[in-house]
Amino acid sequence: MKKKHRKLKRESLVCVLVLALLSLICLLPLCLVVSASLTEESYIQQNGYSLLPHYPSLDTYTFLIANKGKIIMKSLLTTCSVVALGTLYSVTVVTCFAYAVSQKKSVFRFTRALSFFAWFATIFSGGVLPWYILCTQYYGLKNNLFALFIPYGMSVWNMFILRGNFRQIPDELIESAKLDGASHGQIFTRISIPLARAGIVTVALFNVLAFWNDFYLPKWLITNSDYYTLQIILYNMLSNAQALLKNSELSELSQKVKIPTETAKMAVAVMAILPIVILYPFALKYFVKGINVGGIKG
Amino acid sequence: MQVKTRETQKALTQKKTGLWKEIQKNWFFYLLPIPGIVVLILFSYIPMAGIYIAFEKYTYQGGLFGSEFVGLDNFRFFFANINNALRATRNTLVINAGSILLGTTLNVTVAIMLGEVLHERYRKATQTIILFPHFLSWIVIGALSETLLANKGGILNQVLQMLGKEPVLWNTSPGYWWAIIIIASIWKGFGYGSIVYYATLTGFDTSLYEAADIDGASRLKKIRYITLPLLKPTIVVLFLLDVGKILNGSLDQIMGLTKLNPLLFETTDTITTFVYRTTTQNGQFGTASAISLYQSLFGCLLVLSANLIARKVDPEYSLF
Repeated sequence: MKKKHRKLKRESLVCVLVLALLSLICLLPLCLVVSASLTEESYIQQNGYSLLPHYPSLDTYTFLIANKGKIIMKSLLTTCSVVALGTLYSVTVVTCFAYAVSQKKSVFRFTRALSFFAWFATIFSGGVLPWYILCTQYYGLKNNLFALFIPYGMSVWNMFILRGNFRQIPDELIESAKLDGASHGQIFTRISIPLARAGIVTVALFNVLAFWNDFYLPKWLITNSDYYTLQIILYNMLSNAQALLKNSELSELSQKVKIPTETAKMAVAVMAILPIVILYPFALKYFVKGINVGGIKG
Repeated sequence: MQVKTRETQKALTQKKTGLWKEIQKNWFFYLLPIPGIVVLILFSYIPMAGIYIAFEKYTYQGGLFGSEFVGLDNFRFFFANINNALRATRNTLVINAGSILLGTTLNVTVAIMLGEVLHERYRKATQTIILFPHFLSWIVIGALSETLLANKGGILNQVLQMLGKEPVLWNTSPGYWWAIIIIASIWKGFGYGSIVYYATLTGFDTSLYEAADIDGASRLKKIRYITLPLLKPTIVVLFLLDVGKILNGSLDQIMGLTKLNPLLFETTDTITTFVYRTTTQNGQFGTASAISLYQSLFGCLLVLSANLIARKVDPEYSLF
């Protein structure tokens, strides 16, 4: 018995160590980026990236604010508007759809058909080219703020999460409200939505993160730099080190001033990570409630 | 019992009354899903009909459904570019098969390991850390990868130099990039995947394990004969979801990691990036439309074959 106990402990220890290693692998790249954004460019050029900044300095950030402040502020404004409008829009559309689909067949006879209608759209697609032509030439979704969130109205995955939440509401509550003379609309807004709050918050959080991180819509539908999001600015800096100089306020100065190309990328990446870090505790809290993989089909 | 019969009766009478009456009575439910239906029609179903573009000579004036019909003419360009298309297909298959197979294995392993850790707070802390990459965008991960893969000063080359080996020029060596992309996608996704599996694991009936304990089953035996079979449905469902995501999901991944570096196309050009490049960079809608149709057919084929595999594993969990 004692021997078995020791063996059990040893196996657990292996698990603990492997998990520690995996956590480390998840954290190290983040450390590298933060450290690089706090290091001087010349130091990185000579010694390479390191886990901790040897001589921490905020030079890169002050440079970015002084010289690229306008462009970055503009992109932040665009991104934040898209996150706010997009989340509101998508949560509304998805909640309404999910509520209808969560009804019993006796109340709304098309629940199954509509579920299938939504689910089918995730499995088959017409390819990106017809979608692109329709968006840009028929729906007018090009180089404007709406192009950055309108196409993402129905996240079918989120819809199924919410449908599961609505289905968990006990029938007795709804029935007693009906007996009290409540209309469908009153039941929806006063009973069902408050009771499915956890699911709606989960979906809203997923939307906030999805819109903050989105690269697909701005890459396809935006060519005008007025509507660049933070992800696009970061991508342009990554793909072309000289992007920082383009249309820059300091093109004449560029000969004299040493521009921190590498560390500037890392500083913008940190800006893109920071809001996620802030939202993360909330996301974690709702995350486990949100995942119900079994309820996807049907 | 009485309630049940009343309900069935109610259902029967409702079937008899016309649809119009039902709409009048429950108009609220017919109104609610309309925005969602409109969005789905505009952005999913009309594009499906738009596949027609592959058979016409697209002009701005003619539009999507009114341009001149040219039959299979567009596919001339496609077959002239067949090598690129095949290369993109191969890369898509290799990268996704690698990420899904290795990823699933790692996810299940980590989930089981999480279950073995008895210290509650340690487990929570681990979950918190490994889930974080799931919420990062591929562009941010592109920045992270630069600190590791930079030719000069990148961590990997620093390690290679410490070991006395020659540094590798990652940005010009396509040979490494299948592995790099697969590792990156596993890095991003394993926290999410393993937590989903762990959530499933904790729902299992503990009496099964207790019975196995009494029979003196070893830990590995318990995993092999209890845990894995019970996890099978979840594995199948997540596998099908992953396959569904293949076609629409990899543009930002490849662009973030490789920044569409032409030197790496040999191993990193996937169908999605191939369509993107032909559409936006050359503006040749004829070629692009043929490739776009190919993309749709390929996606359809993938989902159908994934479904076939799922049905072989467990008929209950196939999609259709």
